[in-house]
Amino acid sequence: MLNSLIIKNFRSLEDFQVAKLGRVNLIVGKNNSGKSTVLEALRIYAGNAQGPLLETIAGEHDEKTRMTDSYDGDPDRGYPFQDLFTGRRFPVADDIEIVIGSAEEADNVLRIQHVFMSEVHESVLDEGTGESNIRVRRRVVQKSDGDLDFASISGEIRPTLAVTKGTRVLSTIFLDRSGQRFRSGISDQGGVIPCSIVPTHFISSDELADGWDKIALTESEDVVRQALRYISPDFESMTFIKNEDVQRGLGRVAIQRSAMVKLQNSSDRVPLNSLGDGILRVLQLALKIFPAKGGFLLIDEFENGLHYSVQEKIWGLIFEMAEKLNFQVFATTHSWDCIESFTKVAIARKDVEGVLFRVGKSVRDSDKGRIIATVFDEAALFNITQTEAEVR
Amino acid sequence: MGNQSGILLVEGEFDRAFFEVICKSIGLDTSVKVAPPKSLSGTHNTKEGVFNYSPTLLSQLADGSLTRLGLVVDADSPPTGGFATTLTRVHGIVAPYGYKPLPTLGVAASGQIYKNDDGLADIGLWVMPDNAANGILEDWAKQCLLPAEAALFNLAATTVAALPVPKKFSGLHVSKAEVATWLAWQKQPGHGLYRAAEDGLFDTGSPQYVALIAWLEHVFA
Repeated sequence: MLNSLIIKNFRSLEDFQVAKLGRVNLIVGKNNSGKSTVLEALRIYAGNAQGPLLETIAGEHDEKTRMTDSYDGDPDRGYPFQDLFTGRRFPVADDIEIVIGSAEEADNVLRIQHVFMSEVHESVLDEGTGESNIRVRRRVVQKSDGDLDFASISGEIRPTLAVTKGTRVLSTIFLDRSGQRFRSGISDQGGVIPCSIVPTHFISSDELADGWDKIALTESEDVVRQALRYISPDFESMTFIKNEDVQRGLGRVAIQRSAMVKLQNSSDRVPLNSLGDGILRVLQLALKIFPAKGGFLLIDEFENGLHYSVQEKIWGLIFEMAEKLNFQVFATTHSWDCIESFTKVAIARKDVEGVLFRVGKSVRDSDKGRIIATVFDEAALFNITQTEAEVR
Repeated sequence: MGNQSGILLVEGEFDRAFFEVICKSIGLDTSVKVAPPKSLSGTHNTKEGVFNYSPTLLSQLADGSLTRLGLVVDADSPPTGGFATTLTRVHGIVAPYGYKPLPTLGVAASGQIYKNDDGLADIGLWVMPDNAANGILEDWAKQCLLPAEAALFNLAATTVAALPVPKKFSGLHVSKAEVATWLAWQKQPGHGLYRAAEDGLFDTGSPQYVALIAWLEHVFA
């Protein structure tokens, strides 16, 4: 669990710090304030910035995920993952890197550094067999070294992302190789933190079905049923069925399984989809709780589709499960209802700490528009519920 | 709270009612929320409550969620209070947020302005009655009454002074008793100072009244 947060040089968050985090954290801010960027940074932190994860994230933003054949020009543009850095450019200085973690836990701070790697292929004679083998020698070329006069450096120079956590080298991601998927040099697969994501949009019916499969007939299913009853008190049971209509469609199958629900006092099963957005959203939230065990649950726009009265119950469930399954929650919102319902539960659950922080641009001259966090712990939260002070 | 992005933090509900009328009279009612600490759910509606709640508001200034801030407290009197003590206390509260007191300009009564060293808006402190003497809001009010009210007020003051039974209130609160007595003899007895402001019983040209308005306009306009 992170007790505080520091994010540097990551997208709009050039130097962002949250001095105090709780087990359940609500992030508020205007549109485009950087709320979702905080979630994304946490996702990268949890996933150790592995290449495929960075690819997925870049893809979600329609950003470059790999070198393309058409690239042949400006060396400053055109490399994948540039957009992850503040200013959408790889930093010029050696010491500017993406930093994500908790300042108090130096061993677990994730760093992504853009470096140039010189690669020299050497022929080494094996004295035993008499055969010569090719050995690749790599070393990091400091950007400050001779202004990167490539001609003066022997071997091939390859743009690279070097990923470390504390003193551990996690991976080296090569950014070149035109037309190919980038290749990971070395990669330490260990130490990945579970990270379960509830996006703003509805996830596919198939993904829901997969989630349901994992918990069906377990204790966890009871938790999900209970959650669904918050919206639909007469909910009895649910199953996923193969959707024949879609399969007969135009060749490409988009949805294969869809949720059917049995309600009390009704002999027919009905599609979950027919019961409204709220129940779909709750199902999505509830199913995403379990994979967060021991890690993070990231919820983008908590309030989506949820009436105020339901929000409070869902927060109650999330506080409960976060403690039980030992995960940390980060949710974003721009709804006052959501702040109020969160605050009520945070204050009622004395055993689980809730923290709210607002993300916004600093108006201090020296910050030059830097995005900062203003933290409200439970004591301060108590104040804002009464005042409707300008937390939003 | 609508478009209000400035807060005038006052000690209690009576002060709130009074300053709401004053702010409205100069067109600041849409931009300024007048609030005692408990209405923002601070813990106490007292001078100490204002001091304790101020840091919460000061920290809101950094990202522009709160754009303007003014504090109004009574100087009270030594040993626990007094003008000098109050001023020193507030200097200490605002200093960590990069606020330094601006040397008071012009008349001594013009109120304290704090300048930020990093581009945040000025914040203001008004110490009742006049940023110099010890005392309370009612001492300010006494100095601002319409000349036409002088006779009635003097009678109220004389009455309070001549109470034939031991006074239950402290010396500091004599002005409060005087003003309350004067208010009790108005057309609508039993209302607070806000009613005097609504009914136009203040001399808007009196120096102390002018100074308070000028201070509010500096801080919020």
